[in-house]
This record gives sequence, C-alpha cells and structure tokens, in this order.
Amino acid sequence: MNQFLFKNKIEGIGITEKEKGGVAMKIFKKLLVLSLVGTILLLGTVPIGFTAEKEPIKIGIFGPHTGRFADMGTQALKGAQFAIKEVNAQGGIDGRQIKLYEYDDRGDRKEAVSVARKMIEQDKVAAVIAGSVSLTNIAAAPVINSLKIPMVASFSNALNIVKDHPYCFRWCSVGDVQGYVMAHHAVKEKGFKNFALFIQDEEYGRGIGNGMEVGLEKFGGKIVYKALYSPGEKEFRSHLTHIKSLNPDAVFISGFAASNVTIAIQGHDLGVFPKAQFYGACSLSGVDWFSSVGKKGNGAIGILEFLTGYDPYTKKLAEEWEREFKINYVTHETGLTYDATRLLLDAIKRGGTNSDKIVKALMETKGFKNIGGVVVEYTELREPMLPIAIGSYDDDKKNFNLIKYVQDKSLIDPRPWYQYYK
Amino acid sequence: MISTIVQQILNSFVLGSVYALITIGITMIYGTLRILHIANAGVYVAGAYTGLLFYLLTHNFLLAVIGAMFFCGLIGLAIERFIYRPMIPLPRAVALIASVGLFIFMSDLARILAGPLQRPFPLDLGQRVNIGEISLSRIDILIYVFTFIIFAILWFIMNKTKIGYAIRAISQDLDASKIMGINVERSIQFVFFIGSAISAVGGILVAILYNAVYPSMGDVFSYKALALIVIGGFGSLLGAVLAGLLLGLTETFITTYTHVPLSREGIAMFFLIVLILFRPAGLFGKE
Repeated sequence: MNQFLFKNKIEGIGITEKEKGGVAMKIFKKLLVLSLVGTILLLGTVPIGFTAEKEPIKIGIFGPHTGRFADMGTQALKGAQFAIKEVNAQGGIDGRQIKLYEYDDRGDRKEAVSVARKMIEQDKVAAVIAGSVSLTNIAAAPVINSLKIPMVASFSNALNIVKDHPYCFRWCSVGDVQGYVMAHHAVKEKGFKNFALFIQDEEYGRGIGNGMEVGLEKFGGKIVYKALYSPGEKEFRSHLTHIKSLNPDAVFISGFAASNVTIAIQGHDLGVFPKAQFYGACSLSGVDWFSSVGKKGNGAIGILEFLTGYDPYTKKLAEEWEREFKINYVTHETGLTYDATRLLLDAIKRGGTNSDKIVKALMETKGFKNIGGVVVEYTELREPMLPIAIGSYDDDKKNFNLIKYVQDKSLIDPRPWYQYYK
Repeated sequence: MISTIVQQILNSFVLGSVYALITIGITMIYGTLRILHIANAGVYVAGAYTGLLFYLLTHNFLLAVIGAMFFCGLIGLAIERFIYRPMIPLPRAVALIASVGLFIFMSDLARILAGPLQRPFPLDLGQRVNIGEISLSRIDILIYVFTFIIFAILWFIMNKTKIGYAIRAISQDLDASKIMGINVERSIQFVFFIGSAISAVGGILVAILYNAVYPSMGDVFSYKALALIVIGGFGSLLGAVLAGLLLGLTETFITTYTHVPLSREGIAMFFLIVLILFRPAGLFGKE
C-alpha cells in the first residue's frame, strides 16, 4: 500500500489519489460558496435597480439660449422645465420620470441642425420640443422629420416648419393668421384706413407681413409706407420720421420684441405714437417688451396667442408662475412652450414612446385647454385652430388688457395660408 | 417737407456721432500701433455694462459715465500690456486675430456675468424738446453734447499738448520717435486709455438711446467701425468723425427713401468695397 502510494506520489503530480479527491472537493466547495455569494449579491442588487427606477422618458428641447435671440430661447426653456416639473411631481408617466435634454442653437441655422441630430442620434430622445425661432426651426424641421421623431414647434410661426413634415406639429398660430387678424381688427373694428408697415425680413416677420398685406387688401386698408428690416435692428428713426410726415392711422410691426421696443420708444419720441395706433404681433409679449418699453408702450395693441389671468384656470397658473419665476407676466415663448410640452407629454401618456404612436396621439388630442384657458384642437395639417387674443398694453400692470378673443374660424384658420407657400 | 428733411439730418447726426465715438478708439490705436483693434467693440460692451452698474449703484449719470470711462480705460491698458505689446514684433495679422478672439471672449464674458438677456438702462431724461415741427429727444441732445465735448478735448490734446505731439509723432514713425527720445510706451498707454474711455461713453450713450444693454451689442459696431476707419482713412481722427457723419446720412436717406434692398450694415459694407476699389487710402487718408 505504502509502495502503491509512494509509486503514485512519484509518478503523479506529487499527491496521492486520496489527496487529489480532497483538493477537488475543496475547490468545488469554494466555487459553490463563491457562486452562492455571487448569486446572493446579484439577487440583492440588480433586481432592486430594475424595480426602483424605471428608465426616464427622454425629451429634447433646442433654442437660442445664448446670442442675440437668447431672450426667446431662455423663456421657452422655462416653460418646458415648468411643465416637466409638474408632471414629474405627479409621478411622471407610468412611473417613468421625464428627463429634458437641453440644447443651445445660438439662433444659428447650422447649429440648430447639428443639435437636432445630436439629441436624436446620440441622446435617443423620444420627441423634440422646438423652443426656437422660425429661422432655426425651418432648418431643423426637415432633419427631425427625416429621422422620424415627433417635434412640436412651440412658438415659431413660419408656415414651412410644419408643411410637408408629417412628424412636425405646431403649438402657436401661423404668422400669416396674426397679420390677417391685425388687419381685420384695424380696418373693420377700429375703422383705420392708412397704414405704415414694418416687416422683419426673415421667415417669422415675412409670414406676419404677408397676412397684413393680404388682409389690408381684402378689408380695404391702404399701405402708405412699407419698410423691411433685419432681425436685431435698433435704428428706426429715419423710417419713423418719414412715416410721421405721411400721417398714417396705424403702424403695423412684425418683428421680435427688442425691435418692437425700439420702434415704440423712438416713435413715441418723434411724436408718431400714440397719434398713430401701434400694432404688434405675438412677440409683443416677449421679455424685452415687458422689461424695457415702459410707459411709451402704453396703448399698443398686441395680436397675441393667449392672455393669462382672465379665467380661474389661468389665474391660478399665473400665481404659480409668479411664485416660481418671481415675475408677474408670462411671455408668449414661456406660455406656448409650457403648453407644447404638456401637449407632448399628454400624447406620450396616451400613445407611449413610439414615434408613430405619439404622432397619432397628438392628432387625436381632444379637449386640451391651453394656457389662456381655451380648448384647442388640431387641424389635419398638424396646425392648431388657435384663438387669437387681442389686448392693449398697460405698463403699470405689465400685461395686456384683453380686448377680445377672436374665435371666428374664417379669421384664425391656418389652412388657407398654405396656398402662399408652394 | 423741409422740417422732415431737417429732422432726418438731425437723426443722421445722432447716428453719425455714435459711430464717431466708437470709431475714435480704433482709429487712435491704429494710428499709433497699426493694429486693427476690433476688441474695442468689446470695450464698448464693457462700457455699457459698467455704466449701467454704476448708474444702478449711484443713480448719478455723471458718476456712472466717469466710473465706466475709468474702468474701460484700465481694460484698455491691460489689453495693450498683456495682449498687444508681446505681439509688436510679430506680423500685424497675429494681433488682428488676437483682437477678434478677445472681442468674442469679452462678449461671452459679458453674457456669463450679466446673463444673455437684454437689460434696460433706466435713465429717464424727461420729455422730448420740440422746436416747431422738429422733435429732439433729450438723449439726442446728450449725444451731440458729449460728442462735441469729447472731440474738443481730443483736438486740444492732440494739437496743444506734449503728449498729443508725441502721439502724432509716433503715428508718423514709431522708430524715429523712439530715437528722438519720445516715451513711446507711455504715449501708447495713453492712447489705449483714452480710446477705451471714449468707447465706454459710446457704449453708455447707445445703451440709453436704445434702452438696451446686451452681450452681443458690440457685434454690429465691430464691423461697422472697421468700415468707418477705412472710409475715414486709416488713423485719421477727422476722417473717422466725418466718415461717421457721412455714413449716418447715407444710411438714413438710402434706407428710407430708396428701394435699395440693403440693410444698414449692407450699405456700410457696400461703401467700404467701393472705396477700397477707387480710393484704397480712404476719404481722408494719404496714399
């Protein structure tokens, strides 16, 4: 036996068969213990991760957060953040929190395309809120549409953003509608006859300008002067001096808030206003207007997309707004983006995060109450039938006094304006 | 009709005065160092912001102007000492590129420090002054007065003081000035201090004129000032003033009474191109 053992020890690897069996058993036991510990660890950690936190729903937003249009982009961002905060506070959608991916397009068309691609291809967002101006949204919309991700343009009014892009929706009026309603109010309700026009020479301004000109021609107003200007322009005194000599009844302005402010102030200083009635479009409820125009803006008529504080729903909302942002006005960029975000999340709640289902749910939106307290629905062109609020500015209140809500479909329907953009 | 034309000329002179104020710093610096100081538009932005800050702190307009002038003068000194002086031996294109970079940096810094939004300049100068059918706002009058005082002082310095003689000598020949015993370094520092302080005044007046202070307010003026020093004749102070007034007049009448589809900036650049083609030294420069 000893000899056998000895032999085995010599011929083997230096251990006996019995010892071999013992070592194997030890290794097996150790592996078993390790496996059990590993399994316990896995059972103890991974399932907790899965059950406690569902993957968030990713939503992208882009807009000019720096640069010359930063006033609008940052205001829009506030609206989206406010809406998402509300939904997340209520537990999110199906237990999933909403995560907002924010991108700055700097008001630049190329940058808008670049960030749109980034948020879809890299961040894999389920949907996009276009919290940007028309000129950048027009550049980004075809890209987002080609990548088949739903987009809601919150405050950009140029018609071509939505036209021919089945994944793109709008949550504000078409620019042309604003110009048309402006012309209708001035001619038919105020009885004005002669008009001077300031048209900002880019997509937004031209859209409103088109509506003004078509409307004035149809309702019988006469254009005595028309000036085109670049976005961001601040020097209008030469035009206003000439306009004063032409003695128009009203001056129509289609442009961003900063230019509206300088036209109002310079026109007031030259004695053009308030003799002639100042009319501005939705940008009149921009942050620059509220912060800078002062009393020289009093009496200016705004053709706006909503006014808060005129029914219990928006009164409460305005109060919450004031608590959150410490300001007593809601700009149109913030309000419309707040609505666009709620609308999109409502569609995701009904349709899930699949692109086509979101689009279908958006189209089927019913009974959605906007920030102005008005129920708005989509047309088949993915444009909302949005009532227009006409208001007169009062700087003491830092708000517009509501003159009326225009709900007449022959005035606010966006669809007839598609014929001008073939 | 006549009152309208007079009003338009007065409007043009307000614009022209502002253009002259922002161009003078670049012109003086080009005259001495032959550097196109684009970053002066950044100093102009800094002037508007510091003027606003001093005004909000003191509620005294003159203190705000003096404070901003002094602060921007110091910025000018720092730019000369730390950016341009080390670049003097290098080709001038290097300083130009640095200047463009510095301007972008200064605009971005303004955005980071003060936020991206436009801020009003809450100085209420009261009602406009009406003379017959002519109407002048008080800021217009303030711009005329400041421009006149600044150029009168500048004329006196350049023509009646030792430092003025030194600057004129340096602008003719920097190396010869050194040999003649002129303290070139100190003279150049003086030019940067004064040029930057004048730009600060320009920034404050424009901020009040348009009731707006914002980070990108120097963008348009950066290239407009470039056009103006070319039109005026590189380094010519009188040329800069007259070019400013001329451009103000041209912009006013072309944009209002013709159907030329050019923006104000487009008109300035068109002028620049035409001048470079036919008179490369500018209207008042020497060949």
